[in-house]
Amino acid sequence: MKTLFERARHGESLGIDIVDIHGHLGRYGFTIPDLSAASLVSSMDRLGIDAILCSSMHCLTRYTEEGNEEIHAAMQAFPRRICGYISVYPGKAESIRRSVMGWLDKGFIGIKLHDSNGLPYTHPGYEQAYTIAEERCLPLLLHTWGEERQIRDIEQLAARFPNISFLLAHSGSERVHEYIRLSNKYPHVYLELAFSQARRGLLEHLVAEAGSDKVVWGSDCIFINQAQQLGRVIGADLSDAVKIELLGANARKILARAQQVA
Amino acid sequence: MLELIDVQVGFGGTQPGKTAVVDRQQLLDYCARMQLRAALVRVEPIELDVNVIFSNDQLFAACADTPQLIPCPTVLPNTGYDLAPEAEQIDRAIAQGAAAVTIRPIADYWIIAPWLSDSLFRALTDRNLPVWISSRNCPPPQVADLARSYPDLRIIFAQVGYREQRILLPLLKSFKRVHLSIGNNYTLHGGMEQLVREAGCEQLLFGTGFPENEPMSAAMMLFDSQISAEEKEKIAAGNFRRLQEEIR
Repeated sequence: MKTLFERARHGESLGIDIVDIHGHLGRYGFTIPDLSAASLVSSMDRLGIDAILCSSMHCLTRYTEEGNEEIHAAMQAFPRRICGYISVYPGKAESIRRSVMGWLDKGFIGIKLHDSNGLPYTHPGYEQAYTIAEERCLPLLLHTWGEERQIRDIEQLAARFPNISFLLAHSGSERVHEYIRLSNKYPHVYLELAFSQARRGLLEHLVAEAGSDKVVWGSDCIFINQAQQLGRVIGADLSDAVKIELLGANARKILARAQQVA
Repeated sequence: MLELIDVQVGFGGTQPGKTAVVDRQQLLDYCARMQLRAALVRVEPIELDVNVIFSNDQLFAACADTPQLIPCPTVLPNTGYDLAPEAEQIDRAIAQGAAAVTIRPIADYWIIAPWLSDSLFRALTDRNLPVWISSRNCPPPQVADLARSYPDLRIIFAQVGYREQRILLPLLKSFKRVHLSIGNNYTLHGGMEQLVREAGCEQLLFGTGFPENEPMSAAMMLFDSQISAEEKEKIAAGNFRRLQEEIR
């Protein structure tokens, strides 16, 4: 039987369950030739990706509600293929609760925050979002780049909210050891892989040090190319069993926890 | 299975703070694993490459008697009179099997300017020998100036970013001798397809970024791209082979 690597090299379908836990829709500063949800789903179809969890590029801005609307439209157009992360901009407790609960009622299944807005993840305006995520055991995808403040703030949150599945986006982009330390210390902290540079050997290092059950695959598509990010896992010096965990099985467990509570 | 020639491959260089060096055997193992037809090989990383004569000799030795490994040595303007004349450097490169040479203006302390580097680029143009340029050492405006000044110069532009499409597309459309490696860090959703649609496939070359980057990333991006089988074959190997055949 061919390995996943051999199948990919021959241009054949991989034939495994794949879930992309880090996706986006929406315009960004640089050119993305096809911004449509259909192009994202077309990429998933070709690569055999069952579902993608998406947030809007507006997760970087204060226009998170408009971004959530955009994601909701894509979820309706492609049910069960495009799943939604709720983007949140800090605000008053009541309005945040109303917003988050409203989007959950509409089928969103997690929360995505990005600190490019200049606000730390420990900002009190996020508190209600965390409280709901804790109650519902939701996945919480946080943009990271190994910055000291990010790691410190996430550690504080991980200690306070043991039921949230913390997904650290771009794990290992900088200060790899800090990602591994957090993941080893907290059973609910996971290392998400999206990283355009696809640094050779990094993935193997994360798996060796954090464990294959703590690493989850995301592409960051349509921000970057989904096939390129999938190739990073397929080309890694890991067994097929581990690749299957990373590409889908671990994400399914995280999502199943949230669905049980819901 | 798609035949692949990888134009963005390095080995042998030392990275500051790292003790491991990718040696010739690892390079061959990589070629075998990916079932590459050939690899255009440079010395990389270049941060500690202080002696270009030494590293070129190392490169030629590693590639000798191994047709799969095609050397891409470094050339420089001989404006300090401490190297062989430009035409001689290029003659030697071709004699050693090179199918391109690389320039590293920032790392090697020179600039691209007609009063300084004209002899070098004229010598390259005379032989139709492509010059491999990293965006890390030479940004797009300099590549465009070079392409405008030497319309027949074959350029392989590599290590470009996925956020540069607004620059890369007009660069390829304006300068038909400029070729682009799709290796890391060119990872744009729908990017290759747009380049092919707008500028044609003839200027794109398959590259990966080994050993810095996981090679299967660029390979899967090419395999998955929404272009014709013929266009894929050209990008994967055919366009580079055409450049090789044009060397005189």
